[in-house]
Amino acid sequence: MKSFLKISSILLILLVLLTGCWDMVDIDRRIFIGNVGVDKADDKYLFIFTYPIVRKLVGGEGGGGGGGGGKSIYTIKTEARSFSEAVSLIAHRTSRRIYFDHSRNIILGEDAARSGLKELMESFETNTQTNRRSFFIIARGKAEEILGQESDQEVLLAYYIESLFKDSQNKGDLIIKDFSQVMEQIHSLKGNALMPAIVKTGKELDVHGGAVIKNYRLAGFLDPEEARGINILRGEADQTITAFDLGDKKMVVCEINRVDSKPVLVKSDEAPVLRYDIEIAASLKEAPIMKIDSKVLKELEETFASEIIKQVEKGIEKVQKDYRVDVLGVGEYLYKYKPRVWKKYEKDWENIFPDAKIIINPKVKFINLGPVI
Amino acid sequence: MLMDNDKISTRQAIVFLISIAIGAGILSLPRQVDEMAGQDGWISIILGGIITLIGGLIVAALVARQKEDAVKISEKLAGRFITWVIGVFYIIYFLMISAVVNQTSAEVINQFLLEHTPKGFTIFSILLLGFYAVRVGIEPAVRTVMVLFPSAMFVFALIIFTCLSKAKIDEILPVMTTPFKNIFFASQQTLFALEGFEVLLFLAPYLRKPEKAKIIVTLYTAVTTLFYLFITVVTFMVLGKNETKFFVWPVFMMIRGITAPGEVFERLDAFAITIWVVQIFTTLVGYYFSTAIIVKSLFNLKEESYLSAVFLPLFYFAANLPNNFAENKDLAGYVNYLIYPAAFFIPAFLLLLSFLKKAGGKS
Repeated sequence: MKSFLKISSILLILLVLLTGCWDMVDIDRRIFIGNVGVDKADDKYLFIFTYPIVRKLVGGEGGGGGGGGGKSIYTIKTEARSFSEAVSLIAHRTSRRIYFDHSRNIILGEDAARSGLKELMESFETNTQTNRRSFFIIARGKAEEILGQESDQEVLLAYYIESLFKDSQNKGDLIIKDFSQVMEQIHSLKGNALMPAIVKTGKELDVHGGAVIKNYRLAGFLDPEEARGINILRGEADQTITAFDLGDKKMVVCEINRVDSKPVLVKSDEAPVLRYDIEIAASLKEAPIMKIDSKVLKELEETFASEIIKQVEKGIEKVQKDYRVDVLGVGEYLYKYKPRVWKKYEKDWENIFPDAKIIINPKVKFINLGPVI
Repeated sequence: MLMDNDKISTRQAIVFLISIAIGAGILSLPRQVDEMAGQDGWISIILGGIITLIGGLIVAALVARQKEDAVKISEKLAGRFITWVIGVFYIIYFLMISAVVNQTSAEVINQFLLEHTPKGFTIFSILLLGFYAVRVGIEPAVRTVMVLFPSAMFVFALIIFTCLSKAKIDEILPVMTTPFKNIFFASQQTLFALEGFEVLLFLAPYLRKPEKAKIIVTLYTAVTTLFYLFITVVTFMVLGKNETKFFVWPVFMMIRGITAPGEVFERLDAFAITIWVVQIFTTLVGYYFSTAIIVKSLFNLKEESYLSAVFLPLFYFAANLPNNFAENKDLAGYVNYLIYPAAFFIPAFLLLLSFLKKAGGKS
């Protein structure tokens, strides 16, 4: 009798503790949003969500017939004032529960970005559902266009866009940043940041260059060369392919393997003068056939170094003179390493930065010469 | 009961105390120091560690001298009335501090893991487990902690190391530009995270070698301070000091921003929360146990097992006092003031008395 009581009481407790799961949602009752797009729509935003219909994907990826007809990606749109409101509105129309844990990209349309990003960014940041690992991208044009793109290369659009950044072979030409990295920069530069950009070109999407955010507004875009220059200056241009002329219609293509960039404060008058010592390790990818010995190599290195100066200065010119916003990290460097000097500039940095003089001092070392010498 | 050797070794005591200290503070400490001391917050933690060590050594000296729990000591030295005051104070203190811990854990679970599960239920299940662990005395409780602690710390360290891939080392520069006053005030905030050694006051009769109490607190302070220092510095490096301030639980937001290499486990936040809840559990076990000991000594009882059952509803009631983050923060602020008497003044007072008594005895 005693053991019967014991066992039955244990069973009773199990009954209470193991069944009442408030939060159980089976995986087939969930929707995993792949992309989030935002465009401006009058005084509201147009939110676009895309998600894969798993049923249609099964068997499709191996190339064997696909899983029935129709599109494998579902797009749902709604007008709303914020991210959470948009989610609550589309929830009326979706058959399953919405999850953002695996969302890959958040794409903001150009109009929305130009009209001000503060509220939008805060709405993403304060929502606990936002996936902080998704890429945070500004679209040239409308986000709707980008998300309407059908790719023949990948079944899933979200995966396609993600791979453009993640598996890029030429990383220096683009700004690659996920949500957490963009927000980190937004907070530490008080509303300024560099963000990835995306554009639709015919049947493909193109992620070259980047977008410059100034005071929570899109100031403009960078072309690949400018982005490369800024990346080299910031020491973030690993795996970058670039070329330089030798004269006589000859040119050399090389890949930057590693960049190490160190700023040094030279003078601090009305505007600071800085020298960036940039050490580059590169390899030759393509060169006219010639006898390469250490003397020729020296010349090549010097020519490449002057090309680097040109490229970096082009990038600096754009953000310093055109956009007049410090996304190069100059102020950050002064604040961290020369706090006393920084005190002088801190208040009026926005106006001082365009006058700051930046000297580029690159040192190139070829570490890989290719198969023909 | 089978537990006739109800004693714990020095190593067990060290691990027990460390797992009491490492708990609720993990997720929010970087924000707390950042709010006042900015990127110099890590200096505050070292400072907090030194203050903790001072308090710890006082407690250790008392324990090594008297080899009994604080209630018994004060009964011998200060008389019945003061003993009751001290006892009731410590009960309230442990109730309040576990209320803060409980509420924090319920809130985090509610926000990120189980959205629709009522807070009361998560609080109650952790408390029930805590009761189960301490119901037969200290040894099983400490053994549980000994099993949980290394695995939890290993996984947590692994997660934080993964975060290093996004760290920018110069984020903690410039050093010492914040006024020292701010750094010092921030170090007071760290006490809430670092303390836990006052439990030693009530562990004393169960220590196999109470004379080694100094080694216990020294190692305890070193490990907890370094652990919190490591987490805070990594958080500063990944999020930057401006964004750290922004989040209620910055460490958790940092973990949400990283992907484990290889993408086998894309999200690490679920792991982190699980580990964290385990640490919360061990923290509560410590306070729970101490409360039972106090009552046992106050009433001169032999057994504390049924006492912990009496305290279950009390702990539950206390945990439901604050209802949201803001209220909980206020309560944590008050508890922070209680730490000074609980961990510094009362032990120092008792130690002083014990010196006086001895001197008096001699003369």
